[in-house]
Amino acid sequence: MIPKKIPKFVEHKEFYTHNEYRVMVLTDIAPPYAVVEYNVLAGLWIPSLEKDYTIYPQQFYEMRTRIGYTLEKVEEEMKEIYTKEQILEWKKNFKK
Amino acid sequence: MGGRGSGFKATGSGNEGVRQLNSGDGGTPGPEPTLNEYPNDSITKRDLKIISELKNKRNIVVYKSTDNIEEEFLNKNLTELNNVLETMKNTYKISYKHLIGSGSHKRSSIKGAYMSGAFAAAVRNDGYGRFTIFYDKNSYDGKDAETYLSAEHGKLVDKGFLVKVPTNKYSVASTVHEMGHLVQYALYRRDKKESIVENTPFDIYAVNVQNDILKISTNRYKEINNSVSDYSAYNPVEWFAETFADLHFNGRNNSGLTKALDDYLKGDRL
Repeated sequence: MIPKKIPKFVEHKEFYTHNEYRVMVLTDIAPPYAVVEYNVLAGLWIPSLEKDYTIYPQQFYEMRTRIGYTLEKVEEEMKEIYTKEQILEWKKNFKK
Repeated sequence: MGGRGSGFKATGSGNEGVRQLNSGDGGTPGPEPTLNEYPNDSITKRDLKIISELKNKRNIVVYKSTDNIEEEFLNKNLTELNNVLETMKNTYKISYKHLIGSGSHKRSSIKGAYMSGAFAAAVRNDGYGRFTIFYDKNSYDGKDAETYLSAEHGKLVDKGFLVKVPTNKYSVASTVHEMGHLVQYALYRRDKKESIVENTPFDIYAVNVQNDILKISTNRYKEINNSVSDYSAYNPVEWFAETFADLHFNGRNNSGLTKALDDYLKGDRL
């Protein structure tokens, strides 16, 4: 599926890489706006790739802890990406 | 929707078994849907030659949800889709059985839907080749779709994001790109049936296909480029669809990649 807009994060090579299946994936340092844009792409790719590359709150938490973020700082950034409901649901099932 | 945790799932009534493609990760709410089907959709009564031809010759039905797409746009897109199917059958010997399913109960369809993120989408409905192509209502409702979509597609081509196609084909380019996905899946289904691939998941199959085509392109045609557009570098499935669009619109002799894909589709592999 062709996205309607070119994502801005691709202007920054440090925000993405490719995995072993040559699928574009975000690096741990990608900013919140990149996650929002990437999740649009990931949603479009589900029918053709048959895999869901969406970055959910738990995956975002894991990305940020790998680069030394505190839980407080992760939650602050999550507000720019996810709805309140999504963050609350994640907290209920939070895995360190 | 605004891109917050977007996923892709068909919702609404009367969706005839379109798979729920995204159920979330179990711990958080699933992503917001980006494709909502029309409720109570039914087969269109619109009288267009191409609609009858698709129904009678290809077993593809066009739904009422496309009734507000202007005729010129719909006619051009369905005609292009029909051309792709004709080429696949006659030039590449890919049977309808693999491309669009077989048996009267297995109909592929063309529908309108509220979508975000894309102008058109191809969704595989089952393991028999049946598919639905959706056109985004937001992109054509109350608009001159032909002009609007040509302009939008043109912007992406001008930036090198999408493969270059003739300007008079901009409004049908998304359809051909989507057909590229369906063709690749038809090849996968055929290769599985012929035991060329067995339990290989589709995403790994797509990497292998890309490797095989690049090998032909490099070794046989000394091509140095390995992609036809920026978007084709996002993943191997989009790579195939973009290269497919290049071959369809620009012909075999456009580049080493189009020659290689043409060879690959004809079964002339290394």
